Amino acid sequence: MATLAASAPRGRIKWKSSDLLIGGLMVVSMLIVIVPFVWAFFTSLETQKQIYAFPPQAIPNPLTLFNYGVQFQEGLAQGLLNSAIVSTSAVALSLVTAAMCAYPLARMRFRGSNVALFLIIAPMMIPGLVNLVPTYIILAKLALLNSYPGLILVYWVRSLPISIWILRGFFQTLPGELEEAAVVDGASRFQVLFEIFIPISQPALLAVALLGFIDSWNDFIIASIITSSADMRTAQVFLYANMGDTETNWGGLMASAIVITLPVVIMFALLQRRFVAGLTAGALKG
Amino acid sequence: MEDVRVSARASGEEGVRRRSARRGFDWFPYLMIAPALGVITIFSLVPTVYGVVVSLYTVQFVQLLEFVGLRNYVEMFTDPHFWSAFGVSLTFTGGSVLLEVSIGMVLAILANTGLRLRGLFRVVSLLPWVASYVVVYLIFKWLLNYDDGLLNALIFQLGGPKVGWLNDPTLATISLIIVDTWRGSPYAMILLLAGLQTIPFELYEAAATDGATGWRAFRSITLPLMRVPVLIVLVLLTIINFNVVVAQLVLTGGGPGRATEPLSLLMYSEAFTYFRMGPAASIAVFIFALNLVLAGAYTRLLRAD
Repeated sequence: MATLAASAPRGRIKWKSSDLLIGGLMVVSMLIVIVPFVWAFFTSLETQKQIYAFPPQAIPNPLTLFNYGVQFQEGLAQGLLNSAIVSTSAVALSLVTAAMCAYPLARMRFRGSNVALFLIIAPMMIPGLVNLVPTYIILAKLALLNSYPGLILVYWVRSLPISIWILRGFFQTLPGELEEAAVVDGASRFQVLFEIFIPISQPALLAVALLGFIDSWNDFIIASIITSSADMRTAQVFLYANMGDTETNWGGLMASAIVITLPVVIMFALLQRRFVAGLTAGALKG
Repeated sequence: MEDVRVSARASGEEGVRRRSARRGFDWFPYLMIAPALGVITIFSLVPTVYGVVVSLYTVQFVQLLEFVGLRNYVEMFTDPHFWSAFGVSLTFTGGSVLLEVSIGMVLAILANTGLRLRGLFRVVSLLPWVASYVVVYLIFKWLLNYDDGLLNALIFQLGGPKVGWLNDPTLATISLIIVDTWRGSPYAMILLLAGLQTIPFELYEAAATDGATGWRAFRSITLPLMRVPVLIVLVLLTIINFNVVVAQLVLTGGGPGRATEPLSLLMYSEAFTYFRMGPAASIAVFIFALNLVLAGAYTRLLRAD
């Protein structure tokens, strides 16, 4: 706590008992966070017999990758592929259209910009739940159910408001001299946007892409109502469908759960600092 | 030449605008915002309005049959399942939000210290948020499993009886709240941390020279300055938690009976299990109205910041 740091004598670093307490609390909370994942991981490496043995062993012995193999054969691979295609496409569309939209809103004054801002903020106030039924009906009538375009469309629209918001905020912080210099050099406004602003905006673009990807990859509800066949299922839907009522294959489920979570965890671990900045940019700054 | 001198002097945007003012109507901004706003309007805003329309009809699958005005709403408000679901929503949301904000606050304070563990702490703490709802609740469904789950195994080892965490209505509700807190506290932490970091360090220094440190400084400096951020986070989390569906869907399926079925799940199953789109749409409109009230509070709080 900054307060505790202030209470330490100036110029001297001491091991205060309060620092140990704080460190201890941190370790405890990290454990609370990690234990469920670790347990799931161990379960995924066990056979049915080991899983149902009671009391369960702490660390499975012997380990086996059997569950992983079975899951991949039974649809996990297809699920991952569908999720990847749909999420990446949605993010790509979102990045381009959001950047295009954010640029005039950040750097120009024009009639109707307030209406535009309203159109961006309003969807953020509407929970996705409310739009489920009408979106389903509309997609049904457009014959977009159970298809990649249907999913991509909905995910794209979902990520737009926050993407535009973050990019607009970022563009506003860029110095005006960038455009002046380009104008002096005879650049068109398209060029200003695509050849100057976008390359410089990598942190914001990264945050937007990561946010959008995670949001789409992790979604279950929307995918569950749009997809209906086993080959169109996204990874999350596959996982849920495998839950079953009577004989639950916990080893297999945990294996799939781990595999489905890995891509996002890796991406997040690599890019986490900019991700946090992207998250808080929208919510608290208003 | 005059153009260039003018635009070099003015800010970038004015220079750009002045150039095109001489050429007539400036299409550029409208062209650029059209794709995004067009898609948003057609596939996000229009559906919301359409949803209200659907709620005024009897619907067969996706065909709107007959305009029935408010009949769906009357049936909804006289349906005991609706009220029990509403109660479940309130309990779940209230419990989760209070716990998440409290724990999130503690975590944020921890994450704001000068300890070098802080970086790792922040990353690890966000793991529950980064994993999907389905994954998280599935893992806990396994952990809380009556026969072979980790929790019951630990309790059994310590000599206690196995507990039906997900089989008993009250316990199931508590389990749901706790798992949701496990998942949501990191998000609260991140938001509150951003608020904490806007408090200038000099305030604590000044207080320290006056002899106020530790708990005293927390009460006199941190708490008052965090009042608005905390309120914002409260409202934000309320909105999020009120609309959660997957938690109950995966962990309990709404059971036992309907004990853990909130409004959101009721709407989801009405629409996509029973295909009663009309009633489902009216529930959705009700949820929407509640959210609007909360969102209004959110915006007003934001402006007060």
